[in-house]
Formats: sequence, C-alpha cells, structure tokens
Amino acid sequence: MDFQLSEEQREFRHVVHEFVAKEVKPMARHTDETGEFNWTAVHKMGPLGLLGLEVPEAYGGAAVDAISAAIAIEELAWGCGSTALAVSAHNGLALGPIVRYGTEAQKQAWLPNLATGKGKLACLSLTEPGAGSDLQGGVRTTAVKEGDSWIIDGSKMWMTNASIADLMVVLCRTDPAGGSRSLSHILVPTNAPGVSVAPAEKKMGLNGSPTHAVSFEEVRVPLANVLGTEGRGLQQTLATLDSGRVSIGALAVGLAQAAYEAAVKYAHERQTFGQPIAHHQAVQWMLADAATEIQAARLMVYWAAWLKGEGRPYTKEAAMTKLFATEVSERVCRNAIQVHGGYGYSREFEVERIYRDTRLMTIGEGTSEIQRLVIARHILNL
Amino acid sequence: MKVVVCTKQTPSTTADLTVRPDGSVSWDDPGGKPNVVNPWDEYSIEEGIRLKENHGASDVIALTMGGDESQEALKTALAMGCTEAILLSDAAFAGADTLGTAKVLAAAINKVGDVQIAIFGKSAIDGDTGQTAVQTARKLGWTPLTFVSAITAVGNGQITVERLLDDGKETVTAPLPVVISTVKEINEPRYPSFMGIRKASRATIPVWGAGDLGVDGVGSKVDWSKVYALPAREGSVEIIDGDSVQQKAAKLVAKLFEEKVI
Ligand SMILES: Cc1cc2nc3c(=O)[nH]c(=O)nc-3n(C[C@H](O)[C@H](O)[C@@H](O)COP(=O)(O)OP(=O)(O)OC[C@H]3O[C@@H](n4cnc5c(N)ncnc54)[C@H](O)[C@@H]3O)c2cc1C
Ligand SMILES: Cc1cc2nc3c(=O)[nH]c(=O)nc-3n(C[C@H](O)[C@H](O)[C@H](O)COP(=O)(O)OP(=O)(O)OC[C@H]3O[C@@H](n4cnc5c(N)ncnc54)[C@H](O)[C@@H]3O)c2cc1C
Repeated sequence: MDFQLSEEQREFRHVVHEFVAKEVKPMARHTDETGEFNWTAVHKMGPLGLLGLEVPEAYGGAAVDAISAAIAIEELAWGCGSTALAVSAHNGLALGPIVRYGTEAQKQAWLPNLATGKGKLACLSLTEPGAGSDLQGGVRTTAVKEGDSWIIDGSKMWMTNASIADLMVVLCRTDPAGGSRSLSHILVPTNAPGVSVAPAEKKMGLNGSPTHAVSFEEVRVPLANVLGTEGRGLQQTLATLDSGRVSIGALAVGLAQAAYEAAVKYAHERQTFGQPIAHHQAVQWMLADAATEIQAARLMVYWAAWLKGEGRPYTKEAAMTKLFATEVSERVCRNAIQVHGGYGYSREFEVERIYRDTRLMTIGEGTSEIQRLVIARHILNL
Repeated sequence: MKVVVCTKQTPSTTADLTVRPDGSVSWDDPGGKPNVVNPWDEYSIEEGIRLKENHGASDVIALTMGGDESQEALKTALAMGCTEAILLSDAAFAGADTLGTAKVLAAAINKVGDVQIAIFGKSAIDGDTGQTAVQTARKLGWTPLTFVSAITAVGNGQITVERLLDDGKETVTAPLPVVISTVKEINEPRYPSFMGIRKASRATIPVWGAGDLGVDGVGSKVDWSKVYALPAREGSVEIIDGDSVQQKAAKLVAKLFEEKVI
C-alpha cells in the first residue's frame, strides 16, 4: 500500500494548481456574478490537456490516469465551481462515453476538436422535466428510425454546457415498449435543425456554468449516430455516472478545500476578545473537523478513482465517495461561513459563493438519496 | 537549424534570501514552494519552441549548468516542448561566476554543434547580473542581441529582431549564429501540457561534465566577500477616515504630498 502520488501525478497537480491560481481563481467571482462563462481560461485548457483528460493521445487527448483526472477537477473546483462543473461534465459525462462506446468513425469525427479545445465543449443530456432520478420509467424523449435517420422529439432539462457545446449525448427512448432495454444514447450536434436551447436557468449558485432546458422537434440525425449499443442507453448511463460521481466527489473536495483555506486565513486575521479567533476552541474545532473530513473525502476520491483505473467494479465505491465527499463539502463550506461571522454572508467573501456552489453536489449526477439507495442495494444484495 | 535555450533553476519568486553567519547564502520559500525555472527564462523557452513551430528550427535544446536538482528545471523545459535537455554538471563548476558559467555554456553549445541561435533570459532572479548572455556570446564569438522583444524573420543566414529599449524600439538584422536575450514582452509563455509532463518525467537527461566539454579552470574570478540581506523595511499602516470618498481622497493626496511621494 502506498499513499503517495507518483512523481507524474504530483507534477500534474502542481501544473494545474498554478494554472488555476493564475487563470481561474481570480475570475471566479466575476464568473459567478455576471454568469459569463470563463472562455478565456477554458481556451487555454485545450493545449494543457484539461479538455481531454482521459481521451487517448491518438485523438488529441491527455490520456491521464483516473487519479490525475480527479486531481484536475479538484484543483479546478478549488479555483471556481462553475468552471470546474463545466469541465467535469465535458470530460466525464460527454467525452467519457464517446471514448468508451464510440465507433472509430465517431471518435475521429468528434474527439480531436473537443479534446483539444479547438471546438466548444460537449454535454450529456439525461434529465427531463418529468424524469431525473427515475430515468428508466420517466424518459419521454423519443428517437424513431426513419430511413437512414433517427427522428428525435422531446424535451430535456438541466443540461450543463448546452449553450457552450458542439455536441450533446442524448438519452432517448428507442423502444416504446419500455423497460431496461428501451433507451439509447444518440449523438446530436447542437446546431442540428430542430434543436432549441432555452436561456440559461437562474440558479442559486454555479452561475458561470450555464444550465439549460433543450427541446428537440423532429431533429434528424444519421442512424450511425447511435452511441454504443442500441437499447443499452440505461446501462451505459449508469456506467458513465459511476465515473461522473468520482468527478463530482473531487469537485466537492476542491470546493471544500478552498472554503477551508479561506477560513483558516480569516481565523488568523480576525480578532475578538483581544485575540485572533483561531485561539478560540470552538473555531479550532470547526477547522480541525474540516481538515479531517476533507482528508477522508479526498482519500475516498482517490480510492474510487484508483479502482476505476484498475478496471475493477466500483459502482458502490463511487456512490459512497460522492455521498460522503459532497456532504462533507456542504458541512465544511457551512462552517467556513460560520468562522467568517457576518462577513461570511457577504458576497465580498468567497466562502459565500463556494457554499452556494457546493449545494448542487448532493443533487446532480444522482442525489444523496439515490447514492444511499445504490449503496444499500449493494450491501443488502437487493 | 538547431536552437539552444540556456536556462537556470532559481528559487521561487516568493523565496526570501537568508545570509547565514558564515556568509553563505540560502533561499527559502515561506510556503515551501520548490525551485523553479528562472521566471525570465520561461519567455526564452517559449521563444525557442516557437522557432521550431514557426521558423523551421529542427531541435530546441535546453541547457542548464547546475547541480542534480536542476534536472527539474530541464524537465519543465521538456514538458513545455523543448525537444532535448542536457544538464551541465561537475564539481569543478561549483561556485562559478558569470564568466565561468559562460565558458561552460559556450563549450556545451559548441559540443551540440550546428547551433544557429542561443536564447537566454533577461537575467536570473537570484544572481541577477544579466551578464551571462553577452559573456557567452563573447566566448562563442557570436553577435549578441539583447533585450529582444520580437523575432521578426529568420532566413538566408540572418535574423531580424526588435529590441525594446528605454526610449523605444529598434529593428536590427544580424548574420547567424547569434546569442539572444529576451524581455517579457516577447510572448506569453505556455503552460506545460500533460502530454509534455509525461514525456518529460520519462526522459533521461544526459549530464555533461568538465571532461566531456574539455573545459578547465571554470572557477570564479569574482569574489563576493560580503553578502548581506537588506534590513527589513519598517512601516506602519494608517487608515484614512473621511465622510465621503472625495474627502478621503483629498486627505490621501495631501498626505502623499507631505511625504513627497507625489
Ligand atoms: C550572492 C551571490 C552573488 C553573486 N555575485 C556575482 C557577481 O557579482 N558576479 C558574477 O560574475 N557572479 C556572481 N554570482 C554568481 C552568479 O550568480 C551565477 O553563478 C552565474 O552562473 C549566473 O549569473 P546570474 O545568476 O547573474 O545570471 P544572469 O546573467 O542574470 O542570467 C541571464 C541568463 O543567463 C542564463 N543563465 C544564467 N545562469 C545559467 C546557468 N547556470 N545555466 C544555464 N543558463 C544560465 C539564463 O538564460 C539567464 O536568464 C553570485 C552568486 C551569488 C550566490
Ligand atoms: C445545476 C444543475 C446541473 C445539472 N446538469 C445536468 C446535466 O448536465 N445533464 C443531466 O442529464 N442532468 C443534469 N442535472 C439534473 C440532475 O441530475 C437531476 O436534478 C438529479 O438527478 C435529480 O433529479 P430530479 O431533479 O428530477 O429530482 P427527482 O428525481 O424528482 O427527486 C426529487 C427528490 O426525491 C428524491 N428521490 C427520488 N427518488 C427517490 C427514491 N427512489 N428514494 C428516495 N428518494 C428519492 C430525490 O433524492 C430528491 O430529494 C443538473 C441539475 C442541476 C441543478
């Protein structure tokens, strides 16, 4: 057993950290307040490798190991939750299934631009107005074969990156009979006629990561655009979410780390009753708990990522990691505000933004309740 | 056309200089940041790589004279996109002054062979003499072009550059080979890519010593007999009060006049 990152992983972390400290973190407040996506930084991510983390080098990707990919998202989130979510969804949710299930022609057509930042980003579209946790029963968007095309009709909800993407991976009902083999992933270019992306949702946080309702009206794409196996959309989705959950765990750890660092700094500076608040035991305990829980969450993220990299089953572990890391993050960010007192509630201090950002993490890519359900099914053999 | 980039490993920009009682010098970063590629050399490395990308250079070779730990700087240069890196290291090189450094670098550039352009940074943030580039040019017998802010043309055995001077810019043309020292206006250095980091971390960096280079008597003609850190600045903070921004600004301006700051 070895708890050290390899030299290469340490160097990755160093480079991403320096990049984020310079290009991402200083813009986080502006990104949140204006809702302007930080394209300036994201364009610079292409050459670095951040937009094709786990994509093979043959398609222009960085082909880093699963732990390095988690580290990259953790560091991005330390700088800016919005930017991290966009990059996480692009890499894990959209490019992930293309790498895993795509045909050679699909990979050649899409990956070289998407992985290098020459194009825009990509997104995965599962959720609908009436279906989130229950995709199997709830998805109503249909894809019907007509000649050499799929005709897609329906509405999707909460699509991260839709307005800043070239490509959507859309979960569609391809068998009206329903059941676990009735869904398929279909690749839909965002500029296909009949696709309309609604204005960005107004959200509590993550304002620099645009989220959209998208409607499909007789959208026609070639039959060859089905991704992976027709009818295996649900299974492909669940596998993609396993990987996405590790990434959301990493994102939550990065947000918690940023809030914790801000709280430590503030605890040294702020004086009450003649001494820095860092000298009050109640404040010390919040910080000690935060440091401990962040460490535990980070180790879980690396553990789940390691299992993924080794090609072992990790569905339960990914669910445990996401559940724990996101709930830790909420607690740590909540207490970071507490340490700041009234100033923590002010938009002038970053802990306010981080708290709003981390709130999503127990919801997106499977709520905490769904994670518990997944874990329970595994441990109880249900 | 081969290009050589000479780079030094230096302490981080936030490191503090400490002079020990015996007069020896150490740099320690309060946040524990590791040593880095001399920040001014990031621009010269970038320019070297651009000579390959835009002007058909075949090789971009990074050279560092220093101890084993300087390999890290060379790995950064490789990760950014240099095609090769060579460490110049020998007990005989320790304590070299700029002239000694120039001798070693010139010998290495000759050993590489067929080099048309050797690029240096403006200065090293620790030693900070800014002399190494011109002294290396002198040792090689090549034309030095200093304060270069743009390389505008390379071809037909010559190079045209822009030099950024205090009073303006100057365009000069010189026959190759040349030694160039760059200023930060020349480009925006890239970040090392992940693919580059992987390549660099797997690369073995050759080490050339005094014997390989055929140099002796590197040593130092300069003797820095007394080195001392500047005493810490004393200062205090005064918060300027006022009823309005205008009033605060007026008070501030008055104070700055009083202190002869403006
Ligand atoms: C406290 C102290 C005082 C010193 N004072 C003097 C002094 O007064 N006179 C003197 O001659 N020396 C002095 N030295 C030694 C000198 O700092 C270095 O030994 C010399 O190698 C480089 O000079 P520099 O750091 O000033 O580099 P500069 O000349 O400022 O560097 C310019 C460029 O030269 C290149 N370069 C510099 N060093 C290397 C290297 N080792 N390998 C590859 N490329 C390199 C880089 O491109 C760099 O950007 C001093 C050293 C110390 C520790
Ligand atoms: C900012 C943001 C970005 C998003 N990005 C994307 C994206 O890029 N792509 C995408 O497809 N989706 C995206 N989503 C959607 C997200 O994944 C869903 O919101 C999430 O899966 C929950 O689904 P729902 O909103 O339909 O909630 P519901 O499924 O309606 O759940 C409501 C409540 O019921 C609970 N619940 C549901 N079923 C059970 C059960 N069996 N047992 C116990 N409790 C249960 C839930 O935990 C929750 O508390 C995003 C959402 C947000 C807010």
